[in-house]
Amino acid sequence: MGELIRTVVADDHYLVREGTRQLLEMSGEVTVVSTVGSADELLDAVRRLGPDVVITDIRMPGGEWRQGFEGIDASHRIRSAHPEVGVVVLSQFSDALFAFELFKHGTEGFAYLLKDRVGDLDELLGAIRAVASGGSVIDPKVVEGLLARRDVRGQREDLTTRERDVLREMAHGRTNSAIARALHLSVSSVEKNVNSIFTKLGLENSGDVHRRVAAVLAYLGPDPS
Amino acid sequence: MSSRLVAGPLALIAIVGSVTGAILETGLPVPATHWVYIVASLPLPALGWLLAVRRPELRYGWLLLAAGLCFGLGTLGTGLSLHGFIGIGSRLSALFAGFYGLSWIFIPLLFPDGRLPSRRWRAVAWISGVAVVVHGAGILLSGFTLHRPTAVLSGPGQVAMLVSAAAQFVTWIMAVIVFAGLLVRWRRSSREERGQYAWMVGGAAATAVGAVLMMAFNLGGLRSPVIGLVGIVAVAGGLPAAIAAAIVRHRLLDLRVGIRGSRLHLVFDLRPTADEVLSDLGTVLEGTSEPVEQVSRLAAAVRTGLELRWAAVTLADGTRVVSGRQEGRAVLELPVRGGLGRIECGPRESGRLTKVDRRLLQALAVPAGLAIQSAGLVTRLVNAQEAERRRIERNIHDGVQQQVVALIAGLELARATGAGPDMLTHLREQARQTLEDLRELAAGIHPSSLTQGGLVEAVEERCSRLPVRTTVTAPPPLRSRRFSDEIEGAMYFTVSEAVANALKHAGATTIEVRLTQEDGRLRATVADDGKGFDPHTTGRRGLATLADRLDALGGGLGVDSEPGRGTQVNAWVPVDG
Repeated sequence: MGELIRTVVADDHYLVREGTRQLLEMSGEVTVVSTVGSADELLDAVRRLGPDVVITDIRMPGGEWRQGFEGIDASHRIRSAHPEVGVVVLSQFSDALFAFELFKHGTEGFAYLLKDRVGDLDELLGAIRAVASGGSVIDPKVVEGLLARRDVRGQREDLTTRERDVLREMAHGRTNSAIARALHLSVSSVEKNVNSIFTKLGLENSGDVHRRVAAVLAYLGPDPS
Repeated sequence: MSSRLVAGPLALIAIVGSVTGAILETGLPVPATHWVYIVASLPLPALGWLLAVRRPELRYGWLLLAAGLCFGLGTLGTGLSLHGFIGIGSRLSALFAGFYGLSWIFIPLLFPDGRLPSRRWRAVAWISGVAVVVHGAGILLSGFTLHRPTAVLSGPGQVAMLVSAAAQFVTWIMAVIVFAGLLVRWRRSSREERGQYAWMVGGAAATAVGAVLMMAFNLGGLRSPVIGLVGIVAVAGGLPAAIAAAIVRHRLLDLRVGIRGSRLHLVFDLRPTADEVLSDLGTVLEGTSEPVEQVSRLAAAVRTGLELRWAAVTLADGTRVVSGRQEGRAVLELPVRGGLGRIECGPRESGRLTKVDRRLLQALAVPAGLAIQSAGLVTRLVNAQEAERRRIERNIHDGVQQQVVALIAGLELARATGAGPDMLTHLREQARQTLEDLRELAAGIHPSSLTQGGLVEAVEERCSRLPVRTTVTAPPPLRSRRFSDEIEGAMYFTVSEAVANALKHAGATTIEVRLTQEDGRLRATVADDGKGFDPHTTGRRGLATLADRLDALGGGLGVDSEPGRGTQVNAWVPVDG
């Protein structure tokens, strides 16, 4: 195993913060260099400690931030000042609104997971690794929400149920073989679905997982209007 | 034209006439006896002026003013004719006929409100009117002057004098009839009015006694100046004194004497006008938002406004609030606007309920209806809020709370038995489910997308979780518009309830939600292709509460449906811009 990924954990709730820290350190892949309880402290810790990845809550009252968006706004600040730092946002909301907010300037280096993923260490570690290398991850449930939102706005994609499943996994940052394992499909079947999705959405397919997620998220992202 | 502009000069003419006439009669300095005469002549025009100005719609004030005017001009005429202005002087003094006719016949006859007691009295009024005119005209035509009372009249003059005397005799008879009628009305009057009639009977009797004394003074041998003085004081001042006493003691004509402000000015304080009562009611109702309290203040306002012994407000649901102590049956009942209840009035503290009172009450019925309506609205909103709280409490208690208990039990079991990965995974899933339920519960109370993203965002989020094809359309500028929490909440939950109904009851397969803002109205339309229903026979279920919420914001809710034709729910609230 190589070097440990250095992280800062931000959550206004002490038990969540410490629980997350213990879980991450237990993995042997990640070290938590600091845990903080507010957006201001988070920015300060990033400046001082220069972590590889920050893991932050969305709602952290206090400071001169947009109320209810403190974690997201701090993430944007971090990514623009320190482009090498990846951000994993842990959200208690599956509402599309927060995903739109997070991805409004681009998806690179951002992961958006629902908070209950702290009970799924592999998922969490996967997202941390992805953003550490500039990739993106989005929770399948949130992808579902984004797709539903497009439906409601009348921008309906005629994706099959299978294609929707594959799209969710793709947005999750998985490779074709990982998707095949997760959905109990053959790799060739996954490839066929991926191609079909890209054709239907009018996107250019890419072998690179990161770019593929970015393309899908850019497509699902907020309406420019 | 303002009654003030008419009544003021008339009263002034009357008073100047009396004073000038009296001074002309005796020359200066005026002897004490004539000062008494002057003072006794003042109350009639003064009272007439006051009534005519404050209650111009009542004939009574004008009647008193006319009598005062006749008296004043008559006195002036007497004074002038003694100084050689015989022509004008005698003409003016003929107006005394008008004064006697008015004060002996019409003032008692039209008591207390300037109307005939009944139609049967019309004959008396006409005969009296003609007799008074003939009496006065006869004096004018006869050439009789006070300057030379014993001068021999010409032939036609004698005829005129004879006719005039006959007419005067008729007026006396009429005066007696009117007085008898007054006595009968006094005997038959209700408790509230008895005091007023008693004073009038007293005033009329004093006038009659005064007239007898004056006649004895003028014609008989009783030439004592005291008798003449007492007579003229009784004739000129008896009626106004009686009327003034009836006003002060028994609120005649709804007038009362009060002390206004701290300066102890004695003023005539009128009954509050409809406007005053209404604005008072507004202040009173503003002071409380407690619905029952509002209705009880309404009842109190009606009672004090109309000076009733008691007043009651009854709501459609049977709630009844009485102000004062109810005795006997209501003398007046009035439904409030909107038919949500009725106002009942007990008898007046004194006097009868007049036409003005009825008008006042009718004016009150409009804000009363609104007050009752808003009281009902507040009650329903409070009840709905309570019901909602109970529902949330039940959901937490029976749902999430039990799940956490189960989780604790499972964890304890795992600890005691040294659980394997399967069991722990199961427990984790259980905890996740609990979290999911909590998320939904929180969204049901107030969705975070509404707080953070606004109405369009929250409606889209809500609709994106529906199992049927749902479309939300909203103009792009509306997306970023934020409204007050009340407006966003009411509109969001209305849409939410409407789509829930479309799913649960209508079995819809597509739902269309449209949000617009134009002409100062924020509007939401939810249309489904479900089976529809007959709005006349089916209650609006959860939407009724939301209709109240919208109503409270000045908006409204319409449900348009027909079996087999789907349902369309329209909600709107007024917004700026």
